[in-house]
Amino acid sequence: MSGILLVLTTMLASGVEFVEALTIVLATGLTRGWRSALSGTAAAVLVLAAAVAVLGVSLARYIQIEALHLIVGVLLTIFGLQWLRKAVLRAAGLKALHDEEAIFRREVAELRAAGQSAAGRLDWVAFVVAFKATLLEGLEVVFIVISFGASAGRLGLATLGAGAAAILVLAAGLLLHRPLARVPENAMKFCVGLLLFTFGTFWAGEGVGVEWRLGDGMIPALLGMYALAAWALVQILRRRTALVPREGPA
Amino acid sequence: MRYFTGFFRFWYDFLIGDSWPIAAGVALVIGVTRQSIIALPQLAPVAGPAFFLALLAVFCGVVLNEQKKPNARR
Repeated sequence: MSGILLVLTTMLASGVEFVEALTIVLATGLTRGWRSALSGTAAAVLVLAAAVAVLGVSLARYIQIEALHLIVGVLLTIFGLQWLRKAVLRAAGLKALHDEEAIFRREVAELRAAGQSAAGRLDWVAFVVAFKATLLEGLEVVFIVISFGASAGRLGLATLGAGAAAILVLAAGLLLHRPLARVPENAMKFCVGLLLFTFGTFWAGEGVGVEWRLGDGMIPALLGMYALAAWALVQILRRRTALVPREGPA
Repeated sequence: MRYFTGFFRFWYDFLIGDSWPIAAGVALVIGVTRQSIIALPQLAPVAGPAFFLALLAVFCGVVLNEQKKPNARR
């Protein structure tokens, strides 16, 4: 493999993984707060850097990527489904749009009663979601660099390709996070639920041994089908709700 | 003890939340798919659509069942 081809191949392969990680970090940051999402991301990067520094190229021998796919996939599928369920019910008018505000007020009141401050409190759910996604995708990037770089005997060039992909994807994330912040709250949660459910399905499937026919190309296909199903559910629920007679005095 | 209960509560809220059928359904689909592929490895290339449809059924079932609950808004 020529040097340029090696850089381009690792750049493209790592780019796909970086985009997957960025999608989840952006989604988590926009909906649950940047501090916790970025803390989770930074913690995952530190763990990865430590693992690479200690184990080096032999890292690929010690970590079972299928097991990691399964754990992260199951967690994201369950978490994504919970979000998507609530977003569908809100869009259909079966759940209050701003029940989070009531939950937040209740939590703040509980914290105050316990003598703690809500300010500066880490959202562990956002931390865990961002941490796991970044760790999983980061490990995949490390494996890509090791497998392409070590087999070609040019680890430096493979690292360069992955580094270039990281910079490009990071720049895209910085450009995208402001326009995305203007999207209405429930629409954003709807999209985040869909994304988490999609990635969760894909990774959990890989973890249990499913061979996706389209490879990573299966992710947009799953996303499209889940989006269609969620939209159909909203329409069905709206129609059913309209048919049920309202309770109370006439 | 406080940290132990806090840790347990965090994972309970994360995985079960306010809808246990989601966690149960996902666990069932994943367990059945894993056992099927272990027993019949030739299923691996064709298991994808069934896996997707089973998870979709869990999603649709949970959401449609929600409307029947007495506290659902009308």
